[in-house]
Amino acid sequence: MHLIPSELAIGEVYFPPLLIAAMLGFVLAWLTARLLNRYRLSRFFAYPPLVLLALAVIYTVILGTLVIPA
Amino acid sequence: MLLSERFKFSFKVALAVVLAYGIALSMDWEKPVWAAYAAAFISLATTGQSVEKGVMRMLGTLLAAVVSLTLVSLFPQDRWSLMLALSAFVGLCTYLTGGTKRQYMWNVAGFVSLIICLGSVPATENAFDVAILRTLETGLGILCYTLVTLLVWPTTTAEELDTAVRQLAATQRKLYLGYLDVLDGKSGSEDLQPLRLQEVQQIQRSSQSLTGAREDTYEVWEMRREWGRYTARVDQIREALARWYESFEEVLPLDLESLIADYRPLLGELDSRFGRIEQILAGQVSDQGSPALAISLNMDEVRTRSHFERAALALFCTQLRSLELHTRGLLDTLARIKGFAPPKPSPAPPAGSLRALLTFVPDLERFAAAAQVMATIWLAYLVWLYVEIPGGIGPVVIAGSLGIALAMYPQLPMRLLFKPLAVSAVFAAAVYIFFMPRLSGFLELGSLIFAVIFAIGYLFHEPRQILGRLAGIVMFTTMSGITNEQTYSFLSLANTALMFVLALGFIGLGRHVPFSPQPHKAYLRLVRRFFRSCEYLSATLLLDPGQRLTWLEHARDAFHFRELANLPGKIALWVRFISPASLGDTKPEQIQALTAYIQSLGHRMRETIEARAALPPITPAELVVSGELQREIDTWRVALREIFGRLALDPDAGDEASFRTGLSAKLQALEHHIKQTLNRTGQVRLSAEQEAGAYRLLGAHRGLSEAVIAFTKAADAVDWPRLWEERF
Repeated sequence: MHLIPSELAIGEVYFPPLLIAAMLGFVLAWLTARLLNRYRLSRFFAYPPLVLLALAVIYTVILGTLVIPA
Repeated sequence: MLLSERFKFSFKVALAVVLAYGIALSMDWEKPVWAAYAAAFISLATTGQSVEKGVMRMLGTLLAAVVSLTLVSLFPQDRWSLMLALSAFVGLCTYLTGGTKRQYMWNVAGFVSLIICLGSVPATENAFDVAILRTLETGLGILCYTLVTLLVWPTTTAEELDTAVRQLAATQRKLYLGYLDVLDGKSGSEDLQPLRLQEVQQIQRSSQSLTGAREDTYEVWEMRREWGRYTARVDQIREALARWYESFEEVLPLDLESLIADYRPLLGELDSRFGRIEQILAGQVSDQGSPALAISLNMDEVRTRSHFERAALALFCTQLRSLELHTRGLLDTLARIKGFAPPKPSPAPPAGSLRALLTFVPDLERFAAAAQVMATIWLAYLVWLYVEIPGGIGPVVIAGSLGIALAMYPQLPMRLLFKPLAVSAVFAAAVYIFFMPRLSGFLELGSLIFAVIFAIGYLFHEPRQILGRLAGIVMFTTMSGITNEQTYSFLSLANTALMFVLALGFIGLGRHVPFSPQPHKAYLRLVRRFFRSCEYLSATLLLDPGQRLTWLEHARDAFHFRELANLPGKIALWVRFISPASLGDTKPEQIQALTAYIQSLGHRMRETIEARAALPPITPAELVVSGELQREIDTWRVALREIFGRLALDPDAGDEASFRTGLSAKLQALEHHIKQTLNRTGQVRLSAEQEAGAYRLLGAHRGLSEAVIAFTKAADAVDWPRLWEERF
């Protein structure tokens, strides 16, 4: 495993991988929240906004580790 | 060629911004964008409104400069103490921004103190320079827009004020005539709901126009105290009309023409007063006020009625007298404004500030807004301190600045702000990348700034589009980063855009402090709070009216009384934002109807408290006769307090049938005791004033019982389990 961070080039602009992972993580968390709302599963959570934040962090970590590694 | 108002306004904003940039750049001042902000932010439709806003911006900046420099000098080497003191000051500014006086000044003081204390690191070295620069450039921007608006197509607010007050007078007359139709059974009250909303909006609009007209129209400035009385009177008429309408239900079955002396001529005179108000405002008639109207009852006819009918009648007449008093007052005020009568001497100055401080009544919503902004600032500050984020301290300052403004509108969803900022960022980026590098000299740069600002101003001309206009101008001026030594960097552009994204993220998280920002939760919270206030106030009805209250009891009474007056309006605001998914099987009109019942309940509760306070004292001999009656009334009050207590825990706890049975039984027992008491009038006789007061109080009690029952009936149609459900 190398310690030099790799960057993503989109349209000749370099982006840090964590930024992309965080953006995708947030989009996935938002989609999950929409689905949970749609099927009324959100009522089983004590405080859904915290769950949304937790989901965004979990997705970001998973994407950042497995899909877009630094 | 006749130029449109839209063109003139956009031209003035663009010219003022270009001038502000030009002067700031020629003076070689850093951050010329601050001058551009000031010019753009104070641009309003008329000269007076802009000048008023400019003065408030300048005062706010000066206040922030003084406070910030004091804080920096008090805590030069202690970042935590500085942040604690700064966030407390910003919290105080946020609380005061939600008030009724100098809101914009406090708003500016809040975010400028953040810019001065945090805008440069270390603050001890640069705060003084930043404070002076910010003050200078704010003054420059204000001066530029003021000169432009005074010299180029000046627009006074007098015409706008004239239109606003005439429209308001027409609406109040229509509402009065509408209520008469309801009273005559010709129409239902639902048709009047849009008119009521219109009335509230027009009162706000006339108040805003008045603020501007005071600055740019000498006649209005000269009569500013009378105009202040006018504003108070129209609001009193609004409330008197609403409360008069609340008393209709119980008198509808009665033949009012035989019960009230000169009933029709009386209503006709009130209509004529509303008509004369319109005509005076239109300059069609001269009027020197109106004599007081006597509202009396045909006692022979009234004595044939049951006690509850007499009570309903007493209540109806009380509200009618209130309407008579305020329309007469408004006519007098207008006569003085138009010069038909000599001005009224100014009232005595209010009591000292210590007394004002002692009678301070806290507002929970404003405290929540202050807590929210402080939480946002702390969150952003800690992230900046411990995590490397783009833009350095920038997101902290932006989050605080935007947070103060957004805290005033907690109902507005964040996506409403996100869209204009995102579109503006893309537009500003395109100008920055494709046009700006090709420019040389201020003539070309100034032309580009003028074109962009003019286009934004022209596209977002309407007052309701102010968010789009300001977002466009802020994003363009911030992202273009115009300075004398212009450099172009995609990184700085991307960082600026990210700064705004991060700031919005911090605000989004901060909005969950101290309460959830979700509309359905806010609705439930406010409804429960409303019933808690009802419970508290109904408990105070059980106290002896002659009992001396401590300072704390006075303060609690004032707090709950204001909650009762303000919460229905706040609840109505939140209702419009509840998503259909949270409503479940409830139709939007059903929840809106429930809100109208809450409003009605608030009026009834206030009427009961006022009627009790207005009741003349009863001597011990009369008390002996009415002792049993008093016990019966107290039983009813205890029952009502218990009902409010249950509704405060769960608004769905009401059972219409049991409430109706319980309260009706108590009211019947009450009527029985009234009869018994009055049969014993040989022993003690109540004065006419005492009798009228007692009937008014009885009517208020009955009205309150009916309002509670009506609420529980309407609440049955609401899908409460769905409303309580947690959602993302």
